Amino acid sequence: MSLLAVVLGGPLVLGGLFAVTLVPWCLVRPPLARLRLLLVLIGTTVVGTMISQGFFYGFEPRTEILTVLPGLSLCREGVVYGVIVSLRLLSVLAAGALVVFTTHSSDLILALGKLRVPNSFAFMLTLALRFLPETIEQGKRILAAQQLRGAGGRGLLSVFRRFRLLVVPLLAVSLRSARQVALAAEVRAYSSNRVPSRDLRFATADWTVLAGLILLTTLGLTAAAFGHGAAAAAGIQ
Amino acid sequence: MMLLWLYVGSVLGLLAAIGGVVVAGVRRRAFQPFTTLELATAALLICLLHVAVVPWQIGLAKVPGLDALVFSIPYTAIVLLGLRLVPKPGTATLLICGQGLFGQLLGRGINPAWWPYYLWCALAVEILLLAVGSHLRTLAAMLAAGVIRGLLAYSYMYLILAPFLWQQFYAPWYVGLKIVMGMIGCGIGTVLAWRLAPAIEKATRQSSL
Amino acid sequence: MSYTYPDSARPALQGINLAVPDGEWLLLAGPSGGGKSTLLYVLNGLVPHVLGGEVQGDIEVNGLVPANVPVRELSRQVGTVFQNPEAQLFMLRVGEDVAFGCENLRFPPAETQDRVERALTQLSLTSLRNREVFSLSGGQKQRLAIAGALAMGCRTLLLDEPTSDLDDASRAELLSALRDLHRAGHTILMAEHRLEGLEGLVDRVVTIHDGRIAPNGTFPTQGPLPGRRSAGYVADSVPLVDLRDVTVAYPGRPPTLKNLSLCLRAGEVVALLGPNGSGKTTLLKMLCGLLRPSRGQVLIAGKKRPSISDLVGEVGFLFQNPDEQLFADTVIEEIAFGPNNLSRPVEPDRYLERLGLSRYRDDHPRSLSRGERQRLAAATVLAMRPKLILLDEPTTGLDRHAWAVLMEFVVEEAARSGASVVFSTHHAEAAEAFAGRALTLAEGKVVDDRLL
Repeated sequence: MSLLAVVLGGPLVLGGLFAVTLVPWCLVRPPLARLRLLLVLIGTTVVGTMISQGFFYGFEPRTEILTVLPGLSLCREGVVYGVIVSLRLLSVLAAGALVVFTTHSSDLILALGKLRVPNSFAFMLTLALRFLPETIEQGKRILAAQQLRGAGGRGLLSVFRRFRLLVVPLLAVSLRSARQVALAAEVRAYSSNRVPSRDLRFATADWTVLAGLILLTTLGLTAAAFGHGAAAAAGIQ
Repeated sequence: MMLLWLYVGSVLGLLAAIGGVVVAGVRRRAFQPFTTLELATAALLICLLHVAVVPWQIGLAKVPGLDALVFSIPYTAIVLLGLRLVPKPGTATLLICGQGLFGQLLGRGINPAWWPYYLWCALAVEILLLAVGSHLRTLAAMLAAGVIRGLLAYSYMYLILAPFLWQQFYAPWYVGLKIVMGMIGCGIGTVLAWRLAPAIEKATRQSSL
Repeated sequence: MSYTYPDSARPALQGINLAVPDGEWLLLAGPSGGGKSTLLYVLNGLVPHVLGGEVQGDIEVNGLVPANVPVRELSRQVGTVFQNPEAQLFMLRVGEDVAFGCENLRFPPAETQDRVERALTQLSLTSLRNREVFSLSGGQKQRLAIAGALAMGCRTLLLDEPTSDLDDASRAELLSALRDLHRAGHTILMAEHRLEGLEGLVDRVVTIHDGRIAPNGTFPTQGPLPGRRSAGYVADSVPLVDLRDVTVAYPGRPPTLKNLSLCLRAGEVVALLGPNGSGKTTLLKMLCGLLRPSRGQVLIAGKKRPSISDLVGEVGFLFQNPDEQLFADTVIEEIAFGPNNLSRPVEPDRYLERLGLSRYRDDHPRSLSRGERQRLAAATVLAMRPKLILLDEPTTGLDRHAWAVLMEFVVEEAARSGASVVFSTHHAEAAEAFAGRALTLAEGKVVDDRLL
């Protein structure tokens, strides 16, 4: 996916690419709350990129639309380019997020192991995944305890103060948990060369997807060669 | 096309740098395997990186120029605190790459194209630590670690990665602004870590099982 | 056998002579900090390999000498289950966690699968094999930890206060599983301070006090609690808390509290009872403004539908884990923190004296013992003189003496200022001794509300 997104250019083609990524998403049928979150994410990305590229476009020609400050102006090419870029971004994001969404984290980590990511690293990632919800809960409780003792408040300075008040106890509690986890791991004979008891194999579905992706990539590359490439769209050599 | 070569070049450079660091480290016998406790601590620090960054994403953080600044503050603070707690070569790699991969696992999608970015950031810090000695005792050392990471992270991101992966070309002055903001944020984060470290060390030393 | 931890001056264990025959279920009783856990750690090799220090004397476990054998080898024979169910589960799914130990011991995958199956069956967890670890109850998590040990082939099980964080139902589940294992021939050594219901199950009791084995071998009896029943409430006054038909739901989940109505007056002391998941914590969170109801009328301390910032100084909350509430550098600053923020007067020394913590005045809060930290946290809450004091499971994780002292302090201070107290607990004893009213929740509704 990344390869395609990089190579293709032109808003229409990229739009098409994005639409392709949406197909499996519809198949998966994510829950509503997730969907809302995603839409918000998409919306802000597109708007944000349009604005930032609009203001900060690095190439000529620029046709000014709106001048905010001398030297800082919104230009049309930038805005258009912003749309292009966000489509690109979103295609990659959508594809990647799809993988993560449909596969269980344990399998993902196993897959990483196969890509020869070191074992202790993978173990650490599992632990982090395992403790994230609790750490979040602890963080909330600590913040609540502080608020009830009057440590709330707005303003920049109080954000700093609250950070300090949050981090010290949270870190202390986390470190104690780390100690307990380490003891428990020792007692379960933890060592860095482990023999995983499960194995990941490609199923038929996986092969189909892989074939589809190869097809898509070939199509895309041909299209790029025929003048739909990114360089052509950006107007640079 | 030039961009492609730039990216590939950076990856090759990364591999070479890693090779060099590993050789130098092995020669100086600086590498030791991580104990279970250290791995568990790193895992929880990664959780912390996710949790403690959230309360900062308000108000000022949305302004495009300042987001680099606001994000770097808590991020750098926690990474440096982590380095104080587990002063070993390789900790920075665990934390920075770990957090990056963690974010990918949680929803961005496992995208190997980003891994060189994480590795470069981590490597910068590791090289500094190998040169200075892993114990970040002085403010200067911590500042160096924090700011260098910031410099590298943002330069790499906006000069190489963004143009290649996202075809985002920003005006040079904007890139410069982001880099500087990032570095300032890292600096502030470092100072935060510097102030918090004694409190944390006191707290950890006291806790019993 | 004797042992001293590397950082301390006094030996943790002295003159221990103990022989445990194969297949026995031995209970180690005694106060917190008396050495029970340390004894277990000597047997599984954590002492000295991981925790340091030197062990004097002879120890033999299944023919092996722990000091000479790495923890890995020992863990094939001796399995350990710790107090905190959360901190000993590593993987994201049940089946994977049980396999964790076997994978570490490098068994071939087929054999691992086999062992995992058998362990799951032994502990009646087979139906849960693919469940996420998060969704398990405390008792299920502890059974999962035992399954992990069994899969590794352990015949001896060491349990360090395994039921202390569990509610009654989970505790019963766990004890029944242990009974089955005992019948199957496993040797069990269990350190516990919650002794109810154990008398018929264990073979022998050994009490460890101050690092030594106490001479008597009989089952320890529990003395009466130094309880102080609350004086009752001021009748005919405006209710402090008035909830009508309240429904609270976490986003995306079915409601935790359903159509709940409750009326509390100043000066009442209420115990909240009920199994885990019945909504006790949710109710407490709502009473301090952390959660807002989706339906119903709420009046707390004269404010309608307050949020947490409205209730600062009016409501105090003591969490289960004192470490989440201590952030100052010295004990005395800790107590003064709250009142100082609100510009209220405070006499920190009085609290310290009352709690027996005066000698720690300038020490770092985390250097105190667990029971002392809990009392300190309570003092920090009470120093703000709130009108409503909420305690989330103050009796869990502490031994009987420790929580009795804590509750006594809280109830006394509350009576002094006319505040109300609401605390959730699974210890019926605590409710009897300290509360004037007992509310029982089940599945989000009040099923019982009586005066004690």
